[in-house]
Amino acid sequence: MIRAILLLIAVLWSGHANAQTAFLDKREFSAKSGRVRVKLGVSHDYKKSVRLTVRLKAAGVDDQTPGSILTDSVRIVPAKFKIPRNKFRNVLLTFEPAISTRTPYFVCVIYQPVVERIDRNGRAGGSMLLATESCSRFWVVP
Amino acid sequence: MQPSADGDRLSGTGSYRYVANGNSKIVLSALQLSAPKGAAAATPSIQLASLVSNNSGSASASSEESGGVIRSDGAIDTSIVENNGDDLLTAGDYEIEATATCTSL
Repeated sequence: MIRAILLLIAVLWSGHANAQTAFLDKREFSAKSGRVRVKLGVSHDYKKSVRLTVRLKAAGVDDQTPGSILTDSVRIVPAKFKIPRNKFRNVLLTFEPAISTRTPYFVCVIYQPVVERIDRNGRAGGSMLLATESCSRFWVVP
Repeated sequence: MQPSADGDRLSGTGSYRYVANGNSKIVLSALQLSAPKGAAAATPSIQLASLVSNNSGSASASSEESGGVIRSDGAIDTSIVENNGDDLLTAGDYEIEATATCTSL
C-alpha cells in the first residue's frame, strides 16, 4: 500500500506559506466492472478554512503530466468544499473509463487564493495570481 | 505585502514550500496575461527559485522529476515588463494568472 504525501505551498505577496494535500491509499484500480471507485483524503494547512476543488484529469503531454479535466461519467462527492486547517475530508471519485490498456489518470485538488491587487489612482496597477494544485497519479487497468 | 510598480515593471514576490516523498514533478502552466488597451507587448514571468520558471503565454514549463523525500523552501518572483522602450507602464490594469501543479507519480 502506498501513501504519498505531496505538498506545494505557494503564496504570492501575503507572506504566508500554506498547502493542500491529496492522499491516495491505492495507485492501481480495476475497471473490470465498468466503473472505477477511487477513495481519497484531502487536507490543508492554511491558517483559515479554505475552499478546495477536486478534479479528475487525463494524462497530458506524457504519462507524468496532468492534462485536460474529465467530466464525462465522472462523479466526485464532494467536488467542492470548505474545510478548516488540518481537518481531513474523505472524497469519493467514480467514473467509467473506456480503455483497452492500462491508463494513467490524475486526481487533483486545487486552491485558488484571494487575488491581491495594487491600485494606483489611474496609473499602472493590477494583480498577480498563482493557484496551486496537488495531483496524484493512479492507473486503471481494463 | 503589496505588489510594486517601478519603471516598466510590475513585480510581486512570495515564497513556496515543497514537500514530497516519492517521485514527483512540478509544472507551471502557461501564463495568462492581460494588459491595458493600447499598451505595448508585455512579457510575463513567474519563477519558483530552484524549481521551475516560465515566461511563456502559450507553453507550460516542467521541473525535472525528483525522487525520495524532498523539503524545499524558496522564493517566488513574478513580473510583468512592458516592452515599450520608454521605461514606463501604460496606465491601467495588468493581470497575470498561472497554476503551479505538483504531481505525485
